[in-house]
Amino acid sequence: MADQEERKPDASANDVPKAIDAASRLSGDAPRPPPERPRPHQPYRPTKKVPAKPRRVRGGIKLASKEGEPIGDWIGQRFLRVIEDGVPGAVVREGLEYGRLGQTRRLEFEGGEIHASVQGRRQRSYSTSLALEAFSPEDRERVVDALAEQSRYAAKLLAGELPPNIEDLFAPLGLKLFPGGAKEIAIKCDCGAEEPFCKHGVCVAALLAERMSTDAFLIFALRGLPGDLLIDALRQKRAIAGLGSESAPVHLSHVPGVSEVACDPLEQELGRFWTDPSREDPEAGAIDLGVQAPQVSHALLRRLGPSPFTESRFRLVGLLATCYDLVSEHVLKLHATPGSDVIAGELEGDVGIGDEDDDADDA
Amino acid sequence: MIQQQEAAETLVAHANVASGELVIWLESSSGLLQRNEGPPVDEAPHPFALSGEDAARRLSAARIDVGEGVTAVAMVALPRSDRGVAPSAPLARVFGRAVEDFGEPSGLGPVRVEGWAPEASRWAEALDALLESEGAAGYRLICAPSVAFFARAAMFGLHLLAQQRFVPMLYQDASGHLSGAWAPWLSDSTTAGQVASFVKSMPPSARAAIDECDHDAWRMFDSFVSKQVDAIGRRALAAEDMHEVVEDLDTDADAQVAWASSLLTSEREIKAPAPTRTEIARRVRRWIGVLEERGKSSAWRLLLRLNEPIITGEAQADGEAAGDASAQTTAIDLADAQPDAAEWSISFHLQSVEHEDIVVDAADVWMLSREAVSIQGLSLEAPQELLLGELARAARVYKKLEGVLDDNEPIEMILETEQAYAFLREQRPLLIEQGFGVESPGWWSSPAGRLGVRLKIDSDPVEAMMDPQSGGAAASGAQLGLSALVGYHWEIAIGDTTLTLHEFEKLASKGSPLVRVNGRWVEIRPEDVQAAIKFIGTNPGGEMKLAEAMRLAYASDARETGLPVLGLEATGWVASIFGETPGLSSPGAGMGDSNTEVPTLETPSGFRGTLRPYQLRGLSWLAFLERVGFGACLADDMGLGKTIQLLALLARDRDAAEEAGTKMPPTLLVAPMSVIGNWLREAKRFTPDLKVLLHHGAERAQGDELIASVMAHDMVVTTYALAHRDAETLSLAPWARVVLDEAQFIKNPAAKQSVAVRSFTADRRIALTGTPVENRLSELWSIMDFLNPGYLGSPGNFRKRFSVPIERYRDQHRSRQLRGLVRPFVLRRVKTDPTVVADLPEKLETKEYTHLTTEQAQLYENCVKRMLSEVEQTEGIHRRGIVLAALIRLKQICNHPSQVLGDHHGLTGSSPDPSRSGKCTRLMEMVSEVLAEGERTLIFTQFRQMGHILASMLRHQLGEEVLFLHGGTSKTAREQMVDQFQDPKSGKPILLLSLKAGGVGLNLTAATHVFHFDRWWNPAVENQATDRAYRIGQTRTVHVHKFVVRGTLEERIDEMIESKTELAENIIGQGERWLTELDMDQLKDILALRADAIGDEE
Repeated sequence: MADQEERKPDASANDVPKAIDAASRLSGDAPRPPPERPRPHQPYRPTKKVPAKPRRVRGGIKLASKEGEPIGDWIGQRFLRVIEDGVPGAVVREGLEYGRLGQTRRLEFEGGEIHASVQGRRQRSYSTSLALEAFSPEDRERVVDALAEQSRYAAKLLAGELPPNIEDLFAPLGLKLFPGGAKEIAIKCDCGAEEPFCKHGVCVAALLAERMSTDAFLIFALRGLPGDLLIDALRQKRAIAGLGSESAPVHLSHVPGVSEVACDPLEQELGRFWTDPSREDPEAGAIDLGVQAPQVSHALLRRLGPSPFTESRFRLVGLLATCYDLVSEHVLKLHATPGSDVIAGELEGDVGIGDEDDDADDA
Repeated sequence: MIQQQEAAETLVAHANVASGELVIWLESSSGLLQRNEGPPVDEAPHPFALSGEDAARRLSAARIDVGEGVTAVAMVALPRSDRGVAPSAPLARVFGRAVEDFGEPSGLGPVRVEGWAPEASRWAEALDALLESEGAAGYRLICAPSVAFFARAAMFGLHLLAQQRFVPMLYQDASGHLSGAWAPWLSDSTTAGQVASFVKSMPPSARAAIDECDHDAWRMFDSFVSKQVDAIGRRALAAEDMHEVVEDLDTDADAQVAWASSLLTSEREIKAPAPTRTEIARRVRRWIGVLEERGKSSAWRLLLRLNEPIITGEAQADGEAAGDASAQTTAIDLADAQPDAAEWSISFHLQSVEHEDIVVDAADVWMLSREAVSIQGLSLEAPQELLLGELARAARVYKKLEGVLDDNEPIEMILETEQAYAFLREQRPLLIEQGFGVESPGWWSSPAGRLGVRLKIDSDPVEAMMDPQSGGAAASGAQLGLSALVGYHWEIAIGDTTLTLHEFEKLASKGSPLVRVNGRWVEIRPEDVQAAIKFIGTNPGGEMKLAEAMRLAYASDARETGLPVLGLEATGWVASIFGETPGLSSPGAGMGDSNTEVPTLETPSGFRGTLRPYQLRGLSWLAFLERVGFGACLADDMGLGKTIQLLALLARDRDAAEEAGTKMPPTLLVAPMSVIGNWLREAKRFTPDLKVLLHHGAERAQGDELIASVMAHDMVVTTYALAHRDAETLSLAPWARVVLDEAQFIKNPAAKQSVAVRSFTADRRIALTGTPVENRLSELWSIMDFLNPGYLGSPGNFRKRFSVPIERYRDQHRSRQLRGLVRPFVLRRVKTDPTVVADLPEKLETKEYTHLTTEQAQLYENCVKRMLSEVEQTEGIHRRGIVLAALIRLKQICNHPSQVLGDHHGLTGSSPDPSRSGKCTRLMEMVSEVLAEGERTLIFTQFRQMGHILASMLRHQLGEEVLFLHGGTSKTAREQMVDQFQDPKSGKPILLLSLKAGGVGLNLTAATHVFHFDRWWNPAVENQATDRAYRIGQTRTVHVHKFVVRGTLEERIDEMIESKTELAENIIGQGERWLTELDMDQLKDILALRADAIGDEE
């Protein structure tokens, strides 16, 4: 029985790397691992002596690096350094020990934060979360602008790599990519430790540091700039830069399932170059291409709301409403999916059922 | 042959979008023939594409309106080898070749192409015109996949414009200059799904252009649609002189005016000082960004649930009963059901984005902790703050919500009926698009809650129709069929419930858009009410022809009636044709085995064999349709036994005639030459009593003699060619029935053969075809017009109304309409139908009996003659050698004359002509059916050379990619071929194998058909080959086809194997050696050509 209870969290623990990876790449609607099953109620027991060693967790998430080895590559080490510098050595040691023992049952990136559940010495595991201060929308724009300007940064990032001198770019903006000290990492843990940074926090931070080394975008995601948004934005900026006199939209929309998905290089398609994938794809055939009037008129305009230029008296929204109607009518007039008028005429005219159809013979 | 090919130039049209410009360029077959081979040069002009001017001129000659013929240049990345730029696959196929035959492409290289560059607002028309002229007279124009792709993309652009799915946008270039443009809005989830599907199915060649999009499918698609949407938006607004609105306004003083002006006038750029520009860009970016704005939480969102008013004193059971068909006729209870002041409510909830069934009610949210909580394992942070934030966000779209924001702890909002209706119709879609959850009652947007009109038809009961006493099978057919007059009237209906006019008026008088009928809420659009009253008033009912009734019920739109037509409801025999659930309410219903209403017949006593249950149903269906005067199309999948079902129908005729003591009137069966042999065999086997006349050959009867002969037989079998040539005489015979086998032969309605078969008068008409006719609309029209003349109208109208919208734009609505019209007359069962699959074995083996052409027969006879004379003069090993050599030669002759004559060669020579061989002709027909069914096939031959010939033919005739695996194929190539064949996305559904190379070790379970083109005479070897497809992992029925040429050694040896004699043991044991041991007489007997072997189409 105890065995089984232990195993359930294991399964979800194994899913974690995937979850983090996906969460940091996908948009705000980050996919989440299935909800954890509510654990059976633990019966109350009289206070016991707290054991000296933490309870063993089967299949917990472990640090890959052995004791004495550095954790992760330069990214992870850069992140961990602020903790090592700002947290008492004993706590750091214990935290890393927890990491190596695999005391962490769950580690998820969600809503811009890291949520974890760490098993200590007590029966109940602690829920621990780490967060960094997210960039404001304005700052996000500035960061993307700055990154795009420096094509070597942009190229590295688009290739999924974090350039080692990335921090040089943030300093002039007055921003930080990595936290400047342990205090800048917001930690919440229900272990009740007095210190702001407990060993559970260190353990989670160490695991996070290791993840960062394999997912360059994780640090951006923690700053409120998920990888997909960053890549979208960079692509757009780069498009503008590469266009010369050409231009790109000021708002580059995120098209879920499309704009963040990488396209296979054309060279890879050499063997299929002249094929038509839509023939094999029933989905492609099901797209509604009918040219019909909208169910609800001015839907987008209504969602957009009042004009962004609040100080002007020119009635932009009213004008746009007229434009929507004119364009829609124009297209309907020229291209409306052939209507019933055709056969309606036939119903009157050539209902020569049973007679030979002359038309066919003449054709 | 080769000259002929050169004379008729084939052009392949390609479409590429480079830097926002569409370039339509043409590859030429003559160009390919004249090109010089050599290492390619980067960015050199395409060696066999036409110049821009020539392209425009050719297109113009094909009656495509090229306007001023503006041309443009594009750089595209194309496959090339060390011998130069490779031709496209469609062009290579013109010569029956694969691209690799012109040099194995080693990579892509930049090539300069020139072509016609239509203006962006005319892209849809231009691409359409190209598709339209495919196959037009003069020269051959083939559209590459890129043309079809961009044509569909352009149609999508039009769809977005009509649906108002575009936004005013602002563009910025590298130096900060701003310009206005209309842009498609693609981010809403439905649209995004469509875009994803487009991007995923983009042919690689469609993204070959070298530009800033970097061959990225999404960017290429986006740049295409964006350009088109802006161009058409501007054209539409210019046509209405919208620029006048901003003409006199000061663009410098007002940023809004500046932006509007850039959208409405030809001056796109916004001229403003840099800081102003930055400010404009910032504001527009934010503004448009609102559309994508989601709430603070990515895991939770606001859910608005519309709750029906609580109606007291109404039994819930009423609502349930209304759903039953039996409740249709019950009186409508309207009196007390209409609450005067119905209170609707919208309740507020938080919903998990990913697990939509996890919902927290607002009332609970206010009791939760302000901090994080966990709901069913999902963490929810600051729930109260989130709910308020979400409500405020929703209030931006749905203004009425602003009222509740003042409440301390809002949990719901009360609405009147009109407001609830407005919410459902107007706000609901907006809120969903904006990323909120909206839950509305099930009746909303379900067909059961729709107001419409229904056509009601009364006809006699089925029993009366099938009663032999009332005149037998043939007698009264004339007054039935589509020209039968049926009583009809229109009814106003809501879902399944029928209303009288009085009831309806009473309902409408409430003036409420949502009313309760039989305990169920129903939408009555105010605009529908007057239309309905008027329509019923002007259409009192009466009698009309059944064909008209069907067109009204299935193919009329709300525009004619003022109301949606909910379909047709019939009593009596008409109901049997439509099955139990007719109408548009079951849009998913295909042309399946749904016609179960017809009385099931017994196997006729004159039929020797067992009909599988579905075959018995097929027979019953054919008999019933004939009985009620309709032409019927039996379109079962290949291998399900259409021949047998028809023979059973004839046996039934014969039974009836015998009972009545008369001679059954004759049936004319028209079939392609390639299957005549099969018909004769099957008839002999299953209906030996049937007197069958083969009308074929130089000796065939003519004139009165023919008529007399026809009268003395039960079934006359002839070819399409002779049906045309002897049409004059044949049309004089009193046919009881005309049957077309492989009815797709009359797909061109204007062809002589099609005209001829339509000219035969017969009350009963049947078409048999194995191709899914509903996907090939010109074919469908032609077959239906043979079966039920005039029913689908003229070809021109049919094309406009159905073919173009369905084939090109996959118009689901049209497709449903057409299916409704045609469904009663087509019975199509596929092998995977649950009702069929149970009756089928896992492996189905049939022999395909084909004939020799005159050319083959001459070669065959000469070969036999020469061998016999040589054999007479030799002995021992030498004799054996001669026999073996002749044997191989004879087999080759049976395959195709080219295999012995060697008159097929050269890379760009003509593809061998399948019509020179009976086997090849039949193979092309059958493989084309297999592919039409969307299945994959293996084709085995013993001869590598024959494999090359077949590959070439299949490519040329069917326009398909063909894989050919033989002894010389390297191990890596072999593995690659197997992978490609097994991969449903590879677009390579045909794998040719030489028997020896492909017999063992391979796993080819993607195939459901296996052809043995020539025979090994050793069942074990053949079975081993067959088992490539029929093995573990195979989940479908595998259909094995073994080709046998009638009257030749192939048939003789096949008979011997089947007879399982001692000789047969020898054959199986020793391969072909035993033949060499035979004496002269035995040799003569086995090899000599029998008279029934030859059969030319003409």
